[in-house]
Amino acid sequence: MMKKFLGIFFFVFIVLRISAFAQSAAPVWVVPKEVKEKVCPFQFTPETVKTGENVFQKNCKSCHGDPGKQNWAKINPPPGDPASVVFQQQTDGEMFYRVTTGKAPMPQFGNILSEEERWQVISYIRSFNANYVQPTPIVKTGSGSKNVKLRMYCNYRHKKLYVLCKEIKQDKSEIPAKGIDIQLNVKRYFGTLTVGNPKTTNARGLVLFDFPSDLPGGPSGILEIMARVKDETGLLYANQVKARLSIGKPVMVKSLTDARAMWSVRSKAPVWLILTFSLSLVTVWGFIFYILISLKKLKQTI
Amino acid sequence: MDENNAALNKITEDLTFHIRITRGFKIWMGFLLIGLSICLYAYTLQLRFGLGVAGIRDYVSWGMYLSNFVFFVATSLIGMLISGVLGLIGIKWITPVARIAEIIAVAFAAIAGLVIIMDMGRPDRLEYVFIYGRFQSPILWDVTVVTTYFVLSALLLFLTLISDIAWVHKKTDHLPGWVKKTYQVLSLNWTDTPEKNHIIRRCVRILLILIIPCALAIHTVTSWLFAMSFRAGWDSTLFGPYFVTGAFVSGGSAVIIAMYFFQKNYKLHNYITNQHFNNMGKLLVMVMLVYLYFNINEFLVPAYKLKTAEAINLHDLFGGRFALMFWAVQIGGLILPIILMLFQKMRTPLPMLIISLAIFIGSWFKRYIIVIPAQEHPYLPIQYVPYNFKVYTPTLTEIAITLSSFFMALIIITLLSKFFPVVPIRETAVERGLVEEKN
Ligand code: HEC
Repeated sequence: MMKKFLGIFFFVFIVLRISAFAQSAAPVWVVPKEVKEKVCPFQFTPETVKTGENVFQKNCKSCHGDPGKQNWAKINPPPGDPASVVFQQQTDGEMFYRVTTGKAPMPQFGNILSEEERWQVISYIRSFNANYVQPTPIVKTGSGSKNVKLRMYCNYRHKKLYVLCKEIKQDKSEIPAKGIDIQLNVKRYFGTLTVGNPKTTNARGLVLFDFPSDLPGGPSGILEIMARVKDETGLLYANQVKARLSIGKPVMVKSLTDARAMWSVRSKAPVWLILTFSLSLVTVWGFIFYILISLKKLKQTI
Repeated sequence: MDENNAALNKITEDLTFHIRITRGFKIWMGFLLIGLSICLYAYTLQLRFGLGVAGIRDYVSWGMYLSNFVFFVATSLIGMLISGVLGLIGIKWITPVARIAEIIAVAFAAIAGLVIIMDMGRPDRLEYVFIYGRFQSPILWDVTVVTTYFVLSALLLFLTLISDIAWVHKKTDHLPGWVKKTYQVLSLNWTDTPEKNHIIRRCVRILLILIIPCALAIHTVTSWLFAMSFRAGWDSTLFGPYFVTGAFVSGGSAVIIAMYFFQKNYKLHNYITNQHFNNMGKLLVMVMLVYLYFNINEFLVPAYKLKTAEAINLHDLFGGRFALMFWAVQIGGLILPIILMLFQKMRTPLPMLIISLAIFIGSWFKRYIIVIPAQEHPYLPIQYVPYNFKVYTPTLTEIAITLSSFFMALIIITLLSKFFPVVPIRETAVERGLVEEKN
């Protein structure tokens, strides 16, 4: 009996040790070889660095801190400083893949940032590396890599959106791109909202989305809608199409601070309070002035 | 008729006897002015280096200044009780006491406003309270009502003085010319005519009626400064009446102390008699019994339930850091005086003076007990702060600045009582049937 118990105890102990070991040494973050060589399709410029910084501040700083200051968030595994040597040793393709696909706890930014934005933030990260030389921008196709172009059409009456996806060949000719996953996003105050699940283009390179009728869209119902290629492989080059469409539900948001309240500013004081205060004040001071006038009269009467 | 005139002359002589500059007055004023200058020096330090020179910090941000403010507002309320309430009911014996109460009311209300400014880090921005004050804020109500009460009290004091000033004007040839001139201006050409008396009587009546709600408002609002914020120890619906009755206690004792000194120094034994001390004693016992009753409610009800946050505060009062002060104030400043004053023998001038001093000092510390301990026990825990943030200890500078308020109040009381009759001449004459009230 005792032996059996001890046996179970040891078994549990060993399992716990192993899992602890597994936890402390997180598996390396492997990037498929063909993506590693992927390069940015455009030249990094001070402008791309600037927009990239903006993207970084909003999306990355909370974990990675300020590049060069080693002040990343204390989480496990450590996010690391983007300006560090280890970080900068990644190729652009590796960085792009990691930002796109994410790995818990780092989010999958493929859903949140457009391809262009992802490259821009990389250009920002690279600006901390004096030795960095950008590989010549090219759109390399073949062996799984494709260059695709999206267009979006809207049918307001039925709240339908069509996205047409064309592949651009080396010789600039366009053919319908079949089997590409397209994701719809809507811009919100912070980041983007994915609308429904991604859909795959048909033989004509076309997908059809039924747009939800209940998405709140500000006072005039205008939503900023984005269609993107959802690409887990990191091999596609694609643009993002954006349009401001009045396809949402118009909502007038009533601000909490609109109503009169005890805790609000002076101009929003409850009416009864303003009245009580002013009336009391006027009454009492009215009498005071009456008495002052009486005193004047007192002096004058003989 | 001649007899009448002689009696009238005697009264006027007696009641204006003290209106002369004596050596004693000079020494007393000198003492007050020197004391005040030392304290004002302390205030210049605060102006230069900021509120940090006081012991108040982030948690206990209302320290001795605020408790002193509550005390001054409280004491000033006595004018309303004696002139307003008792006067309107038609109680006769208050005549020689009423003006003393009004002088105390004016002095303490005026200084209450200044005490609040002492608590300001940027007194140069005082006008912002009015410019940016919110209707929703008890602070705005408080500054409004304190100002109004001061004006009402000052007007009441002045109106009841007018006829007396005219008489003093005739009796004070020994004073310098400019003083006489001032009397003449202040008397507003008063003569004993029905029209003039009618105007004065009507105005006094309006003031007596107005001053009652206004005095209630001033101290109720002062209590709301506390009761309307989230603090264990202040979160009480009883605070308004609790403060108001407490006010009559401190004000009543102040009046008795003043009565004693005026009777002795101004030789007013025939006007402020033992009977007045006796009556004031009874009045004080009455208000103190009400106050005791409120105290029992205020402490027993939460002490029975001992809700977590209240419990921390109450333990500190009953048996902790503030226990000595708490029990000294409750027993020495409330229960013992009540018991003593139940005996007729104790309601004579000297015992009344001593008892009143104990009550007066106790009243000051009572405000301290109300204001400070509650702030040392906020709902959220106090963490990562230096020791002097957690426990409030007033600094010497702060104590000096607080003392300045007493010097200023005493200066106002001294000057008013020196240059004007402390006991109303005309009213006394009317009461004794020497002057006929023409209507
Ligand atoms: C929720 C926190 C979080 C956010 C937000 C975040 N990251 Fe990360 N990131 C991490 C963590 C944790 C790792 C390390 C993962 C690992 O090594 O397993 C990491 C790793 C990386 C890597 C790989 C580093 C290497 O040395 O392997 C890159 C590149 C990267 N992040 C870029 C970004 C960019 C760009 C953004 C903003 C668009 C971003 N991260 C936002 C947490 C975050």
